[in-house]
Amino acid sequence: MIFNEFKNDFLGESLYKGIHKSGLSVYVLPKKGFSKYYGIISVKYGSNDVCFKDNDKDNFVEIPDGIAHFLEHKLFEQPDGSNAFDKFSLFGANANAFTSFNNTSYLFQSTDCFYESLAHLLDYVYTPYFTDENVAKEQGIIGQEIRMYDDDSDWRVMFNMLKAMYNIHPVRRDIAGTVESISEITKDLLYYCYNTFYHPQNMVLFVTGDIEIDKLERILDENVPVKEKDFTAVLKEYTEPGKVNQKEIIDSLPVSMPVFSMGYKDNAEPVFGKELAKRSFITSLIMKMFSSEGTPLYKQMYDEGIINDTFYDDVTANRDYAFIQFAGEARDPYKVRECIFEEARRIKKEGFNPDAFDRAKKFLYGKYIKSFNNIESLGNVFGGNYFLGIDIFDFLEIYPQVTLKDVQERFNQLFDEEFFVTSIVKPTEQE
Amino acid sequence: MNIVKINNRVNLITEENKKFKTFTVSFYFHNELDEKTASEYSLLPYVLKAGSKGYPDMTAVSNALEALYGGMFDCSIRKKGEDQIVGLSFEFLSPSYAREKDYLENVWHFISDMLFNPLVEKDGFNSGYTEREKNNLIDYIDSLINDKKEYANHRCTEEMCKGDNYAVFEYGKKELVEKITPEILYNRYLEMIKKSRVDIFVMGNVDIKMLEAKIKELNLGDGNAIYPLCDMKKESGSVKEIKEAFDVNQGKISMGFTYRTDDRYALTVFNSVFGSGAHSKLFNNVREKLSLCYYAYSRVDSFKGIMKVNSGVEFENFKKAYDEILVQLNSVCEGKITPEELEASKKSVINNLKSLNDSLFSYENYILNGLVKGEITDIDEYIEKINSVTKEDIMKVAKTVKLDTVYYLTGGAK
Repeated sequence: MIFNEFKNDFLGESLYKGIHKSGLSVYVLPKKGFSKYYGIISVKYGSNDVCFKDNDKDNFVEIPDGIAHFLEHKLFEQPDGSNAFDKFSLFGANANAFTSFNNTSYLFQSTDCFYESLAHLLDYVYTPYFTDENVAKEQGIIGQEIRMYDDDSDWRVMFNMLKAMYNIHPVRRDIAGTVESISEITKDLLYYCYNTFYHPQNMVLFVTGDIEIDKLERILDENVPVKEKDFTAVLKEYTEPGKVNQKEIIDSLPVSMPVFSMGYKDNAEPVFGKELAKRSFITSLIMKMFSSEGTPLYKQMYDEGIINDTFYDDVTANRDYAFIQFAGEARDPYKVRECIFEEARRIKKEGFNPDAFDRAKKFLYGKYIKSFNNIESLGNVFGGNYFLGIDIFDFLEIYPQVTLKDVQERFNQLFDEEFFVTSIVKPTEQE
Repeated sequence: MNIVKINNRVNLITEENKKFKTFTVSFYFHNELDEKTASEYSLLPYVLKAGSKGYPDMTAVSNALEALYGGMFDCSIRKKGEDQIVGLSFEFLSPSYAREKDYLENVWHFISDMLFNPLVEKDGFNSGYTEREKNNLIDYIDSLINDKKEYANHRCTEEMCKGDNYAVFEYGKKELVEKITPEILYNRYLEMIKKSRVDIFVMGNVDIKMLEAKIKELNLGDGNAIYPLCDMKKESGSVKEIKEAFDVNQGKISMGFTYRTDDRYALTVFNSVFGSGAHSKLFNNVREKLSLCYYAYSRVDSFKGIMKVNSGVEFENFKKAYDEILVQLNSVCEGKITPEELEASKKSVINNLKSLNDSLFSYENYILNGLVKGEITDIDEYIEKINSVTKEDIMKVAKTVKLDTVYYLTGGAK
């Protein structure tokens, strides 16, 4: 197996890329002098992927919400009745997994026994074992996970925002599904989804730490199956109508102050790879200049007590769905909305300040370089970016290209009140 | 790691490490946790962060940080036993990635201005900022209830240690925050700067010497400040039960225990076996075997000598969860620990210890714990001690563990 080195002297980092004979893409970022190792394997299959077909068949099949997340839990089950965590524990490794809208990832962090842990990671991910009993047991545990999120105001307010923004796209559904939808999950359905998506050609492995690359091939050969068939599954594409589903969702929970999540649905044409990376960078610059702590908008809202320091903004940029959001706690979230609208109108008229643009660029430059300190967060975003065609060093190429004009144009297009939705969770009225 | 005793009150702890892309500078002020002053100490760093004479408002502060490549300035309030630690921490990109020649000078100017050149008017802090941050702090105190997991844990501790200073919430109390004036707060600041025990950390990818010289030039006065001490929680001999109802879907149970041991290595491994991590008894039985919950874990506070067990369960399963948690504790007492469990538990602790080398702030906190306890153990030595813990050592610790308080957060209220 051949690894090609992509070296960045300025950062003092190298990324090695290789493709295993199974079709699994493998990326290695060696970190000399680090005690920690991190290994993460991601599959391009997440909670959004509830409707798909094998290329051979004509019809799309619809499966219950929450199955990708259910699979994530169930892959830990081993044929000998043990749990994949057990073996990681004996290596002193911390194992975990997470499901997002588009991907499912399995990971471990260790300081010893890296190669053994990596072998185990690959082995368990490629060894599904589902029974009626272990499916029933998981319905109990995930049921409690869903109930926990039901009481979580931050979670609820965010998903209500997505429900308001999206009409048909599955991003509007809960990642874990509902207590009802997961009750429809059976072992056969799990095997069906597993066999469809957990194909090495639909997956990527990223490892980092003080790694010897020569040792990897044998571990891959021993633990990654070479499938007879190529990966051919097709996911249903969702094209959102050019409008939001509803302008506002109000909910209630026992919280001390209203919690809000509001934002603009991004209606721009879908892009991929470097174009997407560039667009996200531009959007991040906008958010830095529009609503971060150093901006006139933030100062006004903070000084007037409209927001407190729980306020934050965030950019989500995927191929087929994208949005920006403003969230936090506020006595009167409508005032926050008013301030956002007013400031957006002002900036459309007057334009952004060039000094703010320079500072925002410096800020994001520093943030990018700093990200190489933290091997867990490097690992956690790797798979998602990889499936979107974004490379870890793309930033340095994109960074000098972006101009204030790019930012202004994108701002004028994105900040459209027609595409703004508001989600609020109010304190439950005490009787 | 290097500890320079600047004087009897101030330590400077440094470690240069080129593998990082950043460096950190942190100031930690140790104060006795006391209800009368806790609110003032907890408000203080936030008012400092709001603006200094050189950077007079939050826009100036944020813009300066952005221009320094997204430098980070964070405040923290930590409780270690009855030590209320006010932390002011900074992290900056290493000079080798910055374009400006005088970058490090600019960084230091920012740090020293924020901490030692506060925005003072007459005899107090800026009154507008003080009022604003008081309101924010009150909101924060009120918002504790929003996270039911942490709220249940907090209430259990509060009930368990009632009457001790340890029960004081380190962020303060609403009624007392309201009473703070800009003058009171400024005096609190002077008291802290001049009299509290101080630990200053400089770590990471930076030339330490320059910053060390600057820190010595600060001339932080001498004195005889000690790290605030904390008594261990005593056994109460009976179990206190508290139930509180909220309009929630899932119940929370928080159980508080006391223990007696001087063997902190055995204690650490005991906690790992019992309830810390996916290898632990609580995870494998309360969650995996009985499928009662999504989370169930134990947490030890060795400053106070207490252990907490927290879990989120259906209301009707409270009793089942409670029983199973005690069954698992009992099985540790009886030594029902397989060699694999023991091995996994030690390795988990060791992994956490080794990982400290890769995070500047986690390492800082490890050293800080050692300073407060009066004993800094080298990480390698710590690992060796963990390795030599036996099953019998763990049983010995487990047998001293006594249930003290149980807090239930239940549903039903509208």
